[in-house]
Amino acid sequence: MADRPARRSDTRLLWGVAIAAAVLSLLTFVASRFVPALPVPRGSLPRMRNPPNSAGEFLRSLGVGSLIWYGCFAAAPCFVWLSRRAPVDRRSWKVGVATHLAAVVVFALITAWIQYHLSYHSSPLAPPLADYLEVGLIADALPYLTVAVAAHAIDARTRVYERDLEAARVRGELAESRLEALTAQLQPHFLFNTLQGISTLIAHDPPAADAMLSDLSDLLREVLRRGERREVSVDEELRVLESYLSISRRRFGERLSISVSRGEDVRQALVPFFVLQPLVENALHHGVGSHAGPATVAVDVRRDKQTLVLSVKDNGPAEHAPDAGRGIGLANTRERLSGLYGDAQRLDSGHSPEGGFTVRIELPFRESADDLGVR
Amino acid sequence: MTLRTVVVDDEVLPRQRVADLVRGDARLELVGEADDGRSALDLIVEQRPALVFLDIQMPELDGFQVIAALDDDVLPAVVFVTAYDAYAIRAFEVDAIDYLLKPVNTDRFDAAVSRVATRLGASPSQSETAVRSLATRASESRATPIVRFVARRGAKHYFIRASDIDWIEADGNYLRLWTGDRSHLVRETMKVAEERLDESRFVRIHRSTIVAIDRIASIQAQDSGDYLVTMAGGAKLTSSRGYADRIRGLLR
Repeated sequence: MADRPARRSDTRLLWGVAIAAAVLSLLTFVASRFVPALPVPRGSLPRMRNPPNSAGEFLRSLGVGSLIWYGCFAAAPCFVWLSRRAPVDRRSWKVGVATHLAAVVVFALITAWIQYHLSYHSSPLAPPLADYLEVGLIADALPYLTVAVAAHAIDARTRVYERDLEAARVRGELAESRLEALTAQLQPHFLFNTLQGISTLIAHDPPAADAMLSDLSDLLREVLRRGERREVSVDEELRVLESYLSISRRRFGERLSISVSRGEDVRQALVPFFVLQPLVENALHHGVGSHAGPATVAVDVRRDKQTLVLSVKDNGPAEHAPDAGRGIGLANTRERLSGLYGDAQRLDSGHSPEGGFTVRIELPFRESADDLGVR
Repeated sequence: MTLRTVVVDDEVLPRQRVADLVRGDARLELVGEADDGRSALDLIVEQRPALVFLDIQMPELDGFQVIAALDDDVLPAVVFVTAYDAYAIRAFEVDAIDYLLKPVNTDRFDAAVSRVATRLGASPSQSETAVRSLATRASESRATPIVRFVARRGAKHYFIRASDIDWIEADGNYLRLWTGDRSHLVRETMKVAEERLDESRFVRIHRSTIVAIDRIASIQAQDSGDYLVTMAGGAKLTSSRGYADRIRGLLR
């Protein structure tokens, strides 16, 4: 609402300028037709504005002189467009400056050429065109240059504003994705049960409560810090997993034994951040949580030629084949992997005949993030 | 008089926390702890507690399924204990059902026990009806197919796999599941069974009968337009009007 009246007065100004320019053009045209041109002495350059010695002469000078402002008005949109196409910025300033200068010269020459014809319309006294253009170019280039600089300055300011806006949007998305990562990767159920576990230990075993609290803090810190990154090295991934496992050992007590192994050549290989934790959580819940007696979970990361193989195996009961609960846990992982690697990944899972459940993931083996263009 | 209390949670430390709070409360007496849904059912039937602190999210059988599987006469007052369950918390608020959020603190625990004590002194049945209907709703709204039912023999509960069932008949508020020559009484509704059993394997042929399709020995059309379904075990079942076209669908 507030900018409407302003816009209307802008339009009115525009019309005013256009009408004034048109009137001036008309006067110039009329004057150049009926007023004889002044002679230019041989060998000397023509002057842009001769001292007027008649009303007609005055009008013509005015018309010819104002043509440049008329031209600037017409050239402004062109320079705005140019400042986007060939911006004078740190990266391509040479091309930008050259393009702008070329445009300035072209506009100045066109203007001078028109001015020449207005001043010496079919007059026998006309100086050579080349001479006139030489003078006209110098006189007309400066206003066009001013327009070019102004257009660029205004556009640069707009772009800074747009960049700020974009940066704010990206920051928002990043925060959102971190939150999503937190809830997707650290089940709220796990989080609150761990907190309740700590509150139990405070009464019974304060040092254990202390240790569990710092494990949980480490884990939260890692997730918050890494949530924005899609991939981390196997070493980093296993370090985060260790905080999680340390909490889990306290949750499930004596009967849980967890082993983690990896090949020596996979330490720097890239894996999706926190890919192992949901699989281990799944194994703990369905494999360990659902039956009494000692439980084992084995995590292994290995290289097989150009493939990185991650596996999580538990010794849970093999009884019910179509286990819905396990499927849901894996669906998220499956979706995430296909989002990151498309068809270059594989996720297999199943009950072993001798009991237990294994999830096996195959990823393209990469040590640097550049190959896939992944951040 | 103290309230006999049971604590159910699949994880040791969280369960211990609630158990500690129960022990520390003079109004309560801890009579048992259970670490999964099935042992919770056994414990409740055996001990007949007045109050149960029940975790919702447990593997195999969750808190709602535990309630759904309990008979009215053994259903104690329930305080749900949950880590995080947006659906459940909304439902609790709507039905004014007692619940505690983990980590449970002493003040909120005290307040919940006070409410239960007051209620049990006044009109015991009201809130239990709400808990029961919530459990039924939760069980109906679940999209996953039923893989197993919970049945009870004496004080012991056991699972019956859906794949072992020959046929199901309604029996008052219960379902009778037939497996071979044995039958099991299950606290479940026909509606839930029909909606959540795998429809490629089970078909309802009567207002009160569902049969496993691959256990059917023969189907015989009657003059009345109904069908006589003979099961592999020899049982003869009749279809009723309104369900006959489902049998025709099988024969097509």
